[in-house]
Amino acid sequence: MTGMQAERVASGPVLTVADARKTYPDGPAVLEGVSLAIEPGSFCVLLGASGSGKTTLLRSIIGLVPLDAGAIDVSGTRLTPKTLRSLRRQIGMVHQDFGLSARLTAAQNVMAGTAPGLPMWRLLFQAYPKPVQEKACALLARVGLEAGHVNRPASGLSGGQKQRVGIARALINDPKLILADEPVASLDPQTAQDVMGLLRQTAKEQGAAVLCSLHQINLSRAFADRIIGLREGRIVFDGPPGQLSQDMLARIFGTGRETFAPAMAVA
Amino acid sequence: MSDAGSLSPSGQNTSPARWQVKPAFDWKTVLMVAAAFVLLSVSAQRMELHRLSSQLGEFLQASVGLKESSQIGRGIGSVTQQMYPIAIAERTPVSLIDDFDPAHLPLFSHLETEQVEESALDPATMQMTTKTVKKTFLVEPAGYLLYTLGKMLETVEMAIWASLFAVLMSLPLSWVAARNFTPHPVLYGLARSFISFLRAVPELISALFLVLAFGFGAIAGILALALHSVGFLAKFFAEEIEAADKVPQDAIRATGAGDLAVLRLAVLPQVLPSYTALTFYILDRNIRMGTVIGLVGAGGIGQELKGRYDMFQYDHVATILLIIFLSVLALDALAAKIRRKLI
Repeated sequence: MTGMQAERVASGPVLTVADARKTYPDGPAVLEGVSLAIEPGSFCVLLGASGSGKTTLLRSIIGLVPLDAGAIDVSGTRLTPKTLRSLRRQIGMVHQDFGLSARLTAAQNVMAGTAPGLPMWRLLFQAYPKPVQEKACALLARVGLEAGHVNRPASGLSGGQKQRVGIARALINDPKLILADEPVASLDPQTAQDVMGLLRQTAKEQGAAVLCSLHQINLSRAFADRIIGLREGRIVFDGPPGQLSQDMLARIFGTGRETFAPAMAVA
Repeated sequence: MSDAGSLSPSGQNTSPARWQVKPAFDWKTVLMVAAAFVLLSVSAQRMELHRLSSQLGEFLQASVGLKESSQIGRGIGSVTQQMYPIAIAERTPVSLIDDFDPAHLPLFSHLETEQVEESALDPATMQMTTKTVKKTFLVEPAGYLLYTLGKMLETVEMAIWASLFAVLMSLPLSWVAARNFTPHPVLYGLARSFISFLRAVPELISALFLVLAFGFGAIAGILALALHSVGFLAKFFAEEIEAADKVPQDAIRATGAGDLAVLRLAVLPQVLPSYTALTFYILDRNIRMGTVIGLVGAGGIGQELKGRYDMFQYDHVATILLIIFLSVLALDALAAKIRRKLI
């Protein structure tokens, strides 16, 4: 990337989504015209109930779910089948169920993030270049793991430790955008707080923007710079946590029995 | 969709008093059992199963003394009598050994001399004369046992090579034959049909033809076992790939990696334990089948078994069967041990 392009990118949004629409075969519409722009370095939370379309939106940004209509631009580059793989390398992603390979070690899982740039034989024998190994260790230390965890299989880590490894993997390519899909859904409340704090802190140090889906209101309020409320595939709220009033929450989650019915029906 | 009522639009929201639990068995089950009974009866007629029952009855009566003898008893009796004692030693007439040197006998062996009456036609008188000759035999006390063990080792080696070839062929084939990773749908179809074809040809049949192509011996046996094993391994390897958890795969794919990297980093670690288990199963199976394909001349202990059986040397057959049985038991225990270590 030339200096001029970098400047232009730095001034523009790191991610724009324009009129994203998606309907699964034999299912309800999941995204009904979502448009948003994420500014560099900001921590945005996608808040909504289960089935509101958060996961589909995040997966479509990284190209795991093809959209029916709409456009996605990452740092000014349009997401197309041709640019898909190069754009993916500029995005870090943290997954709901961690997405780790249980039999690979913590370090191997982190280093796996560099796979697209490496020759096949290095992957086959898990022989990563020395700089990658050093970076993986530094990242594991940064997310709060210890020397004893480096060569331990992911299956031997606790839930919180697994997601710390997941965050380290998302950071290994120095992304300017991190997508996090319910990163703390399967963690206990205290660990969830810690992991969210870590995600925010490391992303800020990195200068990366974060788009993180959550269904917990308290976590969204505590960590977000900006909250985007999603309900039944539409954006119903967009603003700083301070503006998230009871009325706005009702718009995002519904009230009374309505809170549960749509979630159950769509999920 | 915005209220609970819309969840049951077709009026299924009736009072619980009118709900009904579906019975586990109904008249369809009864009909199916009856149909199966009829089909089995017809088949039993075709298989002459009535003879099985009369013969077994005869045998049971004979064994408790109600009858003098039975067909099964006679058949089994004559063979088992000749099987005991099993052949352990090897007796070779010295006259058949090239360059025999009585001063240098093989280890633990000794010579036995026998008086043998031999009849021969006297060319002068044109009459049969009988004369007594001294014949010397070289006796190796455990000779035949060792020879058979060597043949068993040959069968095990055949099975190991066949399994190795099968794994090496199945790994790339399973990638093409896995629906979610195949490079092209046409290749997928071709790979699947090829695998089914290999599975459909029994190794005994392919060994018949491979013996014609490669001659008698281990090579034909190894290839026959390997081809049939690929039919199994590639199918199950591919199904393991298809069934692997998608979450780690998505995570690797989201980094921008291609299919091969996803296979290596997210699929292989998941399927490795079952691949190991399947490979051990195939090895176990190849050892058992390896004894059988020797019957058509494809090397190993089966070839020896077939030869001795055809010469009615049932004592030698007994030794071979015993060694096969013990080897399979021992290898089973060994395989279980290795599997526990690996998984």
